[in-house]
Amino acid sequence: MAARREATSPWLLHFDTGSCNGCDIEVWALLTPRYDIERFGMLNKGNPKHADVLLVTGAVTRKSAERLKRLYDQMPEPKLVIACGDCASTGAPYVGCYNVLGGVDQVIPVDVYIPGCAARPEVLIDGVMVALEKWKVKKEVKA
Amino acid sequence: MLDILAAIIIFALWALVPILIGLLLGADRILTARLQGRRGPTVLQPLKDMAKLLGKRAKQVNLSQVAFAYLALALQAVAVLLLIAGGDVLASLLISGAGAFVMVLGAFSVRSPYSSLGAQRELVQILATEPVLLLVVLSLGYANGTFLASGNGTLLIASLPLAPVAMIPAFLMRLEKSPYDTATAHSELVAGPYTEYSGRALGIIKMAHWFELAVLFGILLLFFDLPDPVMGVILKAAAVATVVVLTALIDNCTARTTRWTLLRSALPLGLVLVGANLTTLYLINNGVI
Ligand code: SF4
Repeated sequence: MAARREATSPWLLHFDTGSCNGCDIEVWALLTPRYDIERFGMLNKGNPKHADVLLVTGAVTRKSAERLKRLYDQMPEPKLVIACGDCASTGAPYVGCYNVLGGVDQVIPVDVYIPGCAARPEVLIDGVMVALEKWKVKKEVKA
Repeated sequence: MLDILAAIIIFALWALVPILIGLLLGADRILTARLQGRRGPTVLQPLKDMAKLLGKRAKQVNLSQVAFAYLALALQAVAVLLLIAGGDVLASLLISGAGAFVMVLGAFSVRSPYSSLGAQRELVQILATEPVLLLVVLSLGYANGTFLASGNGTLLIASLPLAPVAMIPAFLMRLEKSPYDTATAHSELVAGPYTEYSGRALGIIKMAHWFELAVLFGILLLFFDLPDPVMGVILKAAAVATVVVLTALIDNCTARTTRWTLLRSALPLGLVLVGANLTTLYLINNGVI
């Protein structure tokens, strides 16, 4: 991973669509000295207009769906979406609940799915790195 | 012929300014990370961020917002060019101040609470620093007998040692250090005037901020001019390094305060420091002391 330290500069936006907070805590762990995502140029931005990568945790509830869509729309192109954890990827284990729509891809297009309950910080970092490969493709297509 | 060569050197230096400021901010980020027990990014990270932002598409709220970003950049860039070309330091400071106001106007031009909050904080910041900087430049002019940056050549810090000290709060603010923020909504408030900018427009307004920093560093460096150019460059590099280390240290050792506290403390302190220095110099020059 150190070799890919040179990557680029993805700025992250984290949104919780209805998680149990398990995945959220793992996302916040990325900012601690132990994982230090700033090594890879990643910064946590609390603003969709500044973000390149949207990290979504939790199954999408009916209430959060509209907000998720709005945040996604506010991000400038090119942008990436990562579903963090099993809930965000598929809606499991809450799928079928009266207030749950399912995974993130029910509302907005997802680029990378990260499995795990909760998703481990190492996998989250790797997920962003995989997403960055897609970023290059998206940029070329736009150009 | 010599004139053309001088002009080429001036423009080359001018073009290098964003790269130098980017590297400086990279060093600052590494230093901050190390102080916090992290490894931190590479020194090139701010330049990569800038390249990424300029390559992104902007989502503008309205046209005037983007126009203000470009105008701020133009004003700050002209201010830096004036300094590099050995022009009037006072004019450079005032043009840069105008650029800061244009940035505030850009933030006020959209109807967003965080953007207008950021703009108001930016105004408080301008109120806290500009009078001190103005007095610093005026004392520089007095000690030198001219406001021209090229009219320098002596070690001004020997006669005005307190003026660069008075500039430290200005550096803390312009380097966007955290002592001057409320902890609860830290990132939203720091992003303040930038909140509603995105993509390329954000890159442009950040670039304006980089040039603004360059003006501030430029004024500081005027105090460290030496007749010997090589020694001068070494001394200047040491001065810049000291400022970066000092601001990172203050940032990591102090609790966060609001900008109003800053206004109440930095403005009187700065004015008193430079004022006392100027008075002493005046008395010495007139043979009283
Ligand atoms: S995947 Fe597991 S830890 Fe993450 S939000 Fe769902 S239930 Fe919680």
